[in-house]
Amino acid sequence: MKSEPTDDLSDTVEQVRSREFTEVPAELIATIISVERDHIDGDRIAARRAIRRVIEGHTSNAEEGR
Amino acid sequence: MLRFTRLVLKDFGPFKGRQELPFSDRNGVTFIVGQNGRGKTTLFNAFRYALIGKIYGRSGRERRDLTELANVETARTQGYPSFKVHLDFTYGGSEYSIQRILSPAGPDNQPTVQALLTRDGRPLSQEAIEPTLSKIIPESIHQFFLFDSEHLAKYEALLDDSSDAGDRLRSAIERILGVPILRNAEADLEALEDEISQAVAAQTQSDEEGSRLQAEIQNLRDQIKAEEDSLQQLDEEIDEYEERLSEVERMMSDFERSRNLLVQRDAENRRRDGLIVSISESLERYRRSAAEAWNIALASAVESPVADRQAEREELQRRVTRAQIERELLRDLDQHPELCPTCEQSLDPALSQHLRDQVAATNAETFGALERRLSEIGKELDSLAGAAPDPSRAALLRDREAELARLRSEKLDCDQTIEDLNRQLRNVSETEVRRLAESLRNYSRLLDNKREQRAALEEGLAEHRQTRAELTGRAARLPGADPSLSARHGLVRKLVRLMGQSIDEYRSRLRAEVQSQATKLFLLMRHETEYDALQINDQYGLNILHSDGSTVSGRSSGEEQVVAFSLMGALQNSAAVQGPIVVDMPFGRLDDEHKRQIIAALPEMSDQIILLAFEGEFDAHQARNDLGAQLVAERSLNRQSSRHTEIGEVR
Repeated sequence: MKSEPTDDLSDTVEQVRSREFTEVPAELIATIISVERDHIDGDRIAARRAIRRVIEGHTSNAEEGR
Repeated sequence: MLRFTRLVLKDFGPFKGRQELPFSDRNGVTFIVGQNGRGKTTLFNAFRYALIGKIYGRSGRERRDLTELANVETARTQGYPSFKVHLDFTYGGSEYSIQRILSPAGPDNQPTVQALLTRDGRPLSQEAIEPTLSKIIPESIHQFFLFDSEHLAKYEALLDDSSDAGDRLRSAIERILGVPILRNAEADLEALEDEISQAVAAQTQSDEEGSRLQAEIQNLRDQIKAEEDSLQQLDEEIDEYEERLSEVERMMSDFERSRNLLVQRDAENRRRDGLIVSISESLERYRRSAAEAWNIALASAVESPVADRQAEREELQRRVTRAQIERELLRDLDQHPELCPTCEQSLDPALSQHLRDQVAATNAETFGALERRLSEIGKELDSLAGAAPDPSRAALLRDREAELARLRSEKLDCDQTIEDLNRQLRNVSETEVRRLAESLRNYSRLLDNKREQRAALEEGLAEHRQTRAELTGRAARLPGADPSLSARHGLVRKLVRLMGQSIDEYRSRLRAEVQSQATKLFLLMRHETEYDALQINDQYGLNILHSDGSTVSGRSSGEEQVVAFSLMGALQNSAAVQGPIVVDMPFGRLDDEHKRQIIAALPEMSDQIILLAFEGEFDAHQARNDLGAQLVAERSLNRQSSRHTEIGEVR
C-alpha cells in the first residue's frame, strides 16, 4: 500500500525558521500557512485581509505581553 | 483525502436509464472493462464532469454542446435530450454528493444544466458549489486524478526546458504539491509590507531627514506599484498567449494524425521512386542475363533429340565393334583360308570361301554406313550441345527474375499504401496545417519575449522592494516613530524573506521526494533490469538512468508510459491533495510484461484506483492472481444496442 503523506511543506518552513529566523514564532508561521491553505484557489483579497489580521493580532499580543 | 463512494448515471451517453456504479470502501483496484464503443471514455468523462463541470473531447478541447451526451434512444423516445451525472464521495470527514442534471428549462424549454451539491446531506448554495468542488479537486490538477493515457505526450514535454506545455504541466505539478501556498503567503506578506511602509512614511516627522525618507519611500512605492501593475499586465498577456498557444496546440493535435499521414505519404512516395529506379536496374540486369542465356528456352526442345542421338550412337558403336570383329575375321581367313579364325581347326576350302564372300559383302557395306552415320551423329550432338543451356547462367537468370518479381510486388504494395493514404488525406488542408505550425512558432516567440520582459521586471522589482524595506526600517527608527509599526514592519520583512527561502527549499525537497517516489514505482514497473533509477530535472521531467550512469535517450512509447505512471504515483504520494486515480486506456502502448508489472504496482499509486480498459487489453486472470485481495471489484460494460450499454458486475 502507498505510503502515508507527510506535511513536507510545513516541515520545510519550520526548518528554515528554526535555522535562520528563530525570533519568528513557529505558531505564527503555522497560522499563516493554514490561512493560505484555506484560500489557495479562493479570493486573494480575503486571504490578504486574513493575513493582515494574523500579523496585527500577533504584534498586539506581543506588545501586551511586554 | 478524496474518495469516491458511488457514481450514478441516467441517460448519459450509452448508459441508458438509471445505472449505478458503487465503489468498494476497501483500498485497491477496480477494473471496468468493455469493448470499444461501449462507453469507457464517457464513464471517464462522467467523473470529470461531476467534479469540475467540464467535458473534454479526445483532442483535449472542451465540449460545449452537452446535449450530444444525452442518450440518443431516450432522447428520441421522450422528444428532448436529458441526462444526470451523480457522484457521491467523501472528503475531509464529510460526505458529499454532486449532481449535474441536463433538462429542458425556461420558457423556450432550452436544455439547461443544473448543479446540486450537498455536504453531509445539507445542500450548498449555487454560488458555493464550484468554489467548494474547486477546493477539493482544483481544475488545474484534475489531470493527476483523472488520467487519460491518450494524452501522455505532454509528460515528455517536461524534459524540454523550453516547452510551453511543460511549463503549464510544471505549474500544475507545483499546484498539486502545494507550492502556491507559500507563493501566496509571500505575495500577501509583501502587500502587507507595502501597507506598513506607507503608514511608516506617513507618520515620519517633518524634519529634513524625515521628509527626505518620506519622499523616497513614496517614490519607491509608486515605482513598485507601477512595476507590480506591469507585472500583472504581463502575466495576463502571458496567460492569454498561453491560452492561444494551447488552442493552437490542441488544433495541431487534431491535425497530428493528418500530419503523420502526410509524413508517411512522403516517405512512401520516396520509397516508390526508389523502387521504380531499382525495377529499371533489375530489368536491365535481367535482360542482359536473358541475352546470355537465351538457349534456356531451347532446353526442352534439345533434351529429347540429344537423348535419341546418344542412344543411336551407342547402338552404332556396338555395331561398329561388331563390324571391326568381322573385318579381322575376314583378314584372318584371307591369310589362312584352311583354318577357322576362331577355333583354329582345319576348314573346308569351299566353306572358307563362302564365309569370306558373305562377310566381305556385308562388312564392306555396313562398316562404311556405320562410320558415316557415327560421324553425322557426332556433328549433330556437337551442334545440339552448343544449344544446351549453361546451368550457372540459368541459375543467375532465375535469381534476376525473382528479384524483378519481388521489386514489382513491393511497388504494388507501395502504390496501394499511397492510394490508401491519399484516400485518408482527401479532406485535409495542407495549407491549414502549415498555417497552424506558423501560428505555433509565432506564439512561442511572443511568449519567450514576454517572459524575458517579466524576468527583467521582477529583478528590478526585487531590488526596489529591498530598498523600500531598508528606507522604511530607517524611517521607523526616527524619533517619534510608532514603535509598534516598526516592530510590525521588521516582522513582516522577516516573514517575506522566510517565505522566499522556504519556496526554494521546498521545491528542492519536492523534487528529491518526487524523484525517490517515482524511482520506487519505476523499479516495480520496468522490466529492463539495466535501468536503475529516474532522475528529475527542474521542470519535474524524469530521465531514465542506465546502470552505467548514462541517461537513456530515445525512450520507447512503452517506457514513456511507465515513466508517466511513475510520476503520477509519485505526485499522489507527495501531494498536498490526495485522492483516487481513474485511468482511461492505460495499456495502449505496453507489452504484456509491462502491463502485468503496472497492474501489480497500481495499489502503490493510490488507495483507490479505477481502471478503464478494453476487453483483451490485459490478461484478467493473471491480473486477478497478481492483485489478489487488492482487486476490490470488476465491472463490465455490456452492449445492449449500439446506443445502449449496461454496467454489469463481474465479481
